[in-house]
Amino acid sequence: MHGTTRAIRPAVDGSPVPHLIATLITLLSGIIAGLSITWLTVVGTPPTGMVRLGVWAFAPRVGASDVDPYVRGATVVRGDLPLGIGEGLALTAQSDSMGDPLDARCAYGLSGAIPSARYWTLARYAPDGTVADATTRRHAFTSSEIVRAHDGTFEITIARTVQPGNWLPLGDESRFVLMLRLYDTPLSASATTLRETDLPTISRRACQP
Amino acid sequence: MTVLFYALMFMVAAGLAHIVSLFALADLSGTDAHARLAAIAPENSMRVVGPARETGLPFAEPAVVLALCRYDLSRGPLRVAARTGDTFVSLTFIEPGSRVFHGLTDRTAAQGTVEVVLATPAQLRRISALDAPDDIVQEIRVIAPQPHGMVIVRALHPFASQRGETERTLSQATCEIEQLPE
Repeated sequence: MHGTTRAIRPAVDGSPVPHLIATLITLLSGIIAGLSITWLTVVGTPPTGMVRLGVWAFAPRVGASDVDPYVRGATVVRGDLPLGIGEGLALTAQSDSMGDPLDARCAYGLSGAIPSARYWTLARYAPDGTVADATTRRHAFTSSEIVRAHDGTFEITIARTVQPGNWLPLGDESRFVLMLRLYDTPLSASATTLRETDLPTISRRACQP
Repeated sequence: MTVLFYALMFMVAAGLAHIVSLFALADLSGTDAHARLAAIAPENSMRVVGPARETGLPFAEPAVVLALCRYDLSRGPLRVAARTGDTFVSLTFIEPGSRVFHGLTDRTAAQGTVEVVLATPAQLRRISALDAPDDIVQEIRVIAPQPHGMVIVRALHPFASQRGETERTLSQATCEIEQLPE
């Protein structure tokens, strides 16, 4: 290798030729950079394949065989089981309608429209997807369990302290995420028709110090 | 010139490493749902595991009970049948690496049962050749992209009190290899 490098050394413009060690260092740092980019894109929110509508984010093709590679990478690393494209759609909220991250010291009101689906569920999780107190406390509602007003509208209050109506108690974690799952929805095949006004809003109320 | 050359080399190396690792991740990580569930799913038979959180998977749906069946199509196609109840029942088909290649709901049920035959492309050609010309095919036929994978049956209970009933409905789900006639 060295022989070849030396042989082409006398370049016309006198610029130094690539050196073996410099080449190796460049390649190695390139590989490390490439692997780091992979890691960063799969542990966070995937850079492509996601749709964001208001507070909600979802991957329309996560349950299809042509899933976006970044979405698939993130799913593999988290280890959750996606819903197939013909089964339903899962949407995640990490922040309230003002854009602030969901904080378990605050109370939140979730209200507004829910896209048409045979059933839907709303569940809270720690950001890593665990639920510490799943057996002792409610951490989800199904569409059948919701108490509605006379006009069919509803509100879910998400707070640590006891609330009247549909109360989703928060656990001891500091941050939390909400997941809205729509089962058997015509949207799952064509989620592009979904608009922000079809989805509920999350507004922050009082916060504990 | 030299700086440009090294910069280009760096970018090509980074790009290749990124793309290769991104696509290899699903098969190498071992953290995906298929890898985690493979330990508790029986091969070519159905097992009810109960609430989704008992699988240890993150973001488990609390209102759903699961049944699992890991399959190996090398000895023949797989027939999956699940009774449907009053509520939502769905089937998810995943490959190793957790890519979902098919998903369907109880809307496709005939006479209260969702019935799916999962086969390799070669097996499916054989099955179609065996069909009598005027037969009405009741089951849904799905092509498996590879001979190994998993079927997950989800059954939703809208009220927590319906969990027992939902698990009983789910326990009638079956997952069996069928022998094709020679």
